[in-house]
Amino acid sequence: MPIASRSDRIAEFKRRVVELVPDGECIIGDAPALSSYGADGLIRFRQTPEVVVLAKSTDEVRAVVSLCAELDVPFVGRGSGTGLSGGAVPPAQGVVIAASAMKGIVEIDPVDRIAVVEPGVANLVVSERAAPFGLYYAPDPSSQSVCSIGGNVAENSGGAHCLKYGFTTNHVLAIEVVLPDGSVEVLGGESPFEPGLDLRSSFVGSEGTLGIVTKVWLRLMSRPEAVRTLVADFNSVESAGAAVSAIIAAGIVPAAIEMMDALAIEACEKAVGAGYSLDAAAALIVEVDGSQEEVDALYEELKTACFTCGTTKIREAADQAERSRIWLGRKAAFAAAGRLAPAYIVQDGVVPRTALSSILGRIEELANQAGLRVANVFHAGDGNLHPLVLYNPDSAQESEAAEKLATEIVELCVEIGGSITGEHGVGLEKACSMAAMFDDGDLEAMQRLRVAFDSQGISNPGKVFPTPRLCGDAPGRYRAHALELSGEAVRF
Amino acid sequence: MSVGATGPERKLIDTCVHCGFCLPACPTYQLSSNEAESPRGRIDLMRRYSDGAIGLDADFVAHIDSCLGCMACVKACPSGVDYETLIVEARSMIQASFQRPSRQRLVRKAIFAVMPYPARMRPLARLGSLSKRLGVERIAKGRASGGLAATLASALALLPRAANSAVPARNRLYTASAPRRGAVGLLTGCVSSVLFGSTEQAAIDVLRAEGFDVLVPGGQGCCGALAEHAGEAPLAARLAGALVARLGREQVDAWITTSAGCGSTLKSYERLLPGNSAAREFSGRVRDVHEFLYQQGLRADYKPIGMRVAYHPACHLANAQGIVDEPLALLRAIPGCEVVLPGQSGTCCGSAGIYNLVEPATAQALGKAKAASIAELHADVVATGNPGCLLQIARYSDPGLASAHPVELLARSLRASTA
Repeated sequence: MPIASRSDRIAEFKRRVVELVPDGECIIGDAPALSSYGADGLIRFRQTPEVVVLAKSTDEVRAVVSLCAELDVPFVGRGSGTGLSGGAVPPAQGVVIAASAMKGIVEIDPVDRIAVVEPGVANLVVSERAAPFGLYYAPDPSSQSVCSIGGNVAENSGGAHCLKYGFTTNHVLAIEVVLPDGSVEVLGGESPFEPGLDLRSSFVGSEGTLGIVTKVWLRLMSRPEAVRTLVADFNSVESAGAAVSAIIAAGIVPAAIEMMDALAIEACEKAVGAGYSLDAAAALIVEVDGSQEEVDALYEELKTACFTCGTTKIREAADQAERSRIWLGRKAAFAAAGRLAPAYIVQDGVVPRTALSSILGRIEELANQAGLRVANVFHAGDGNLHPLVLYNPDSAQESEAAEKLATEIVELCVEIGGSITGEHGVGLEKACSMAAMFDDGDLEAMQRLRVAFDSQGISNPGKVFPTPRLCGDAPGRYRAHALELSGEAVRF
Repeated sequence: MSVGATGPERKLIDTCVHCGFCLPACPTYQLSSNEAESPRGRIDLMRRYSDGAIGLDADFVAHIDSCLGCMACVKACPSGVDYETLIVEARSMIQASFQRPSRQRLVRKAIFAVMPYPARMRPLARLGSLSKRLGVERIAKGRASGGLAATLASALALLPRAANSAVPARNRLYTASAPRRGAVGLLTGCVSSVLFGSTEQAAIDVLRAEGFDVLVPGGQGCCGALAEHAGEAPLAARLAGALVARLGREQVDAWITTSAGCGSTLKSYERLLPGNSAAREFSGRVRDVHEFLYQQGLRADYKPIGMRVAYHPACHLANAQGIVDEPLALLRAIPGCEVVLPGQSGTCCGSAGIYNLVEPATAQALGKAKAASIAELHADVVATGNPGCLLQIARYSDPGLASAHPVELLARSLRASTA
C-alpha cells in the first residue's frame, strides 16, 4: 500500500500516465474538458475528474488501470455517458477511462452470427453493420443510436424489445476485461455453453465495479421475416393496463409492449411528430414479429384483446417508414420531456405486470401531494415503469420535492413486490435504495464477490452499494455490518 | 452593449438535458471522441461558466471555436435545444470578453477586413489565383506554421485556379423570358459575388426562364453571416443593418440567395437586429433559390443532359434551414440527370464559413473524408448549394471532378439543344 497522500499519488499519476497512452489522449490540464466529464446522462450528480484518458486499445486501458492499482487511484470506465443512474460519475479525485475512441467493429461473422466489437461502438452501429447479412443485435435501449456496447455490458441494458428477446446478458457471449489489478481476462466464450462458474454473468450488469470491458463478443440474430406494429389508444390508463394483461393472458409474446400516458404522448409528439393521438389518455405500442403466418394470426388476436379492453382507435404501421416513426417517438421520450419542463427526473422501477393499472393511480396521488407533474412511459410487457418527474430546477423547494417524489415512487414499487430498477442500474442515484430491497446479508454477499475482483476498491467506488458517506445516517437505510464495526471488513 | 456579450441565457442552456443524442451527429466529436468537443459538452461548458465553476480561458475558447456550426446536432436533438443561438451567443461573449493571443487576433482581423467587402476581396482573389498558377502556394505552405501565413496558405489552397467568370451587371432588372409570374431580387453577397459569378448568372437565367423578373441591385455588401457565425456580432449587425437599409424599399416578391450559409442568417435578422421591423420584414421575404423554385414549381423546358451528379447537402441548407428534398427534386427534374448521395451525407465537409481558415486541421480531416466519400460515387459533377462547400470539396477532390451549384446545372439544361 502506498503511503503518500492521495494528492501526491494523483500528481505522480499525472506525471506517468501520458507515456502509457501513446495512441490515445490524456486530458490533464484542460479544466473545461475535465469538467465536461463530470456527469453522465443524469446531470444532477457531478464530480470533476483529475484526469480523463481516451484510450485506443486494451493495452492502453491495461496500462492505465495498472498504474491506478499501483498508486491506489480510483477510476471509472465510461462509454458514451448516456447512463441514467449516475453510474459514470467519476469518483472523487479519480480518473475517467473513456472507451469513446475505441469504436471499431473487429469482425462480423455472419455464419456463426457473432460480432466482435470494441466497447465504444454505439449499439445501433452493430445492427447497421450486421444488416447486409440480414442480421441484427437485439437489445435496443432507447438511446441505442448513442449508447456504447461497453456501457450496455456494464449496465446490462434493456430496451423495448427485451420482453421477447431478453437483456444484454442474453446476447453477450464473451467479454475481454481489464480487472482492477491490471490483468486482462476473457470471460465466457464463443460457444453458448461454457463449463465452470459463469463469471461473464457476474460481470455483465456490475456497473463498472468489477473492471473495464475492452472487447465484446455479441450474438447476432436473424431479422424476423415479418413485423407488424400497432398503436392502440385508450380512454384511461386502467383500460390500457388491462389490455396489457389481456394480451399476455391470450398467450401472445409480443416483441414489445410499450405504454405512454397523455403527458408522455404530448412530449413525444412535440419532439418527433410520430402521429400519436393527442386526445388519448394512454396509448400502447405493440409489435409482433416472426414468420408471416404467425405474425398475421397473432396480430388478429392482439387486436381482439385491445378491442375487448375498450381501445378507441388502432393505427397499424403501413410500412417500415411508419414503424420507424412510431418507434422514434417512443425512443425520444426521455429527452422530449425537456419540452414539458425545464428539468425532470427519469425514474426506473419494476412492478408485477398485474399491478400496472393500480400503480399509476398511486403515482398520480403521490404527484398531487407533491404538487408536481409526472409523465409515464414504460415497457409495459415486463412491468418496467419510467415515470418522468417534471420540475423547475430554479426552485430549490421544487427540486427537493421532485427527488423525494422519485424516491417514493421507486420505494412504492418495492412495496408492491417489484424492484428499484428495471434497466437503468443502481449507480449513484439508487445506492441508498438498495437497502430497501436487500438486507445486510444480501449486500454482504454481493460485496464479497466485488472484493474478489477488486480488492483495493478502486473500480467505480461509491456506486451500487450503499455507503455511509452517500446515505448518511438516514434511518433504516444503512447500518454498519458487525465485521465493519470490528474493523475486519470495509465497505467501499 | 453588443448582442449576446453576456453569454447565452441560462434558460436556453437548461433546455439541454445532457442526453447525448447529439454525439453521433457531431463531426468534431466523431473525430476527437472528446466530450468537450460535442454539442452537449459545449453547452455544459456554457452551463459551468454560468455557474462560475470554470473560467473563460484559452481551453474554453478552443472548444467553442472548434464547433463547425453545422447544426447537425439540432436535427438530432429530441429536446429542441436552440444550439444555433447558444453557439452564436457564446462566441459573441468570447469576442467581447476574451483577449485572444495576438496571432489569432491578427488572423481574424485580416479575414474580416477583407472577406465581407467584395471591392477588397476581388483584387486579392485575382492576385491569389494568379499566384496559385505561378506556384506560390507551395512556398506559402512551406512557411506556414500557424498565424497569418498559415491562414494565407489555407485561403490560397481554397481559391479556384481561375477566378470564376464575369459577374452579371448590377443595378439592372433582368426581365422574365417566359410568361411573367412575379418579380424577385437577387442577393449577391460577398465571397460568392467575387468567386461565383457563374452561379449568379445561372440563377438569373433560370429565374427568368421560369417567368420571373430578376432585380440585381448594386451596392449590396456582405449579409453578415460569416461574421455572425464567428461571434463578430457587432460587425454582423452593422452589415445586416446596411443591407436592410439598402434593399428594404425595393418592391420584390422574394429575395433570392444562392448561398446556404447566407440564407440561414438572412432569414433570422431579428437575432442581429432585435426590434427592427424592416429587418424582420426583409427576413420574411428571403428564400433560398432551391426553396423558391421548388415552391413555385418548374415550368420551363429542361432538356436532357446525361450526367451523374453527386449531391452534397450543405449543412446550412439541410440542418439550419431544413431544405433537404428541394435540391434533389430540382436536380431530378433535369432529364437524364442521375442524382446520388455520398455515404454519411449529413456530415459537414469542413468548410463552415471561416472555419477552414481558422481551424485548418479539423477542416482538412473532414474535407478529405468528404472528398473520399464523393469520389466513391464516380460522379461527373459534385453539386452543392453553398459557395464555401464548393471551394472546400474542390480543394480535396481530384481536379478532374467538376463542381457546380445545382442552379448552374438547371441553367445548363435550359441551354442544352434538344437531342
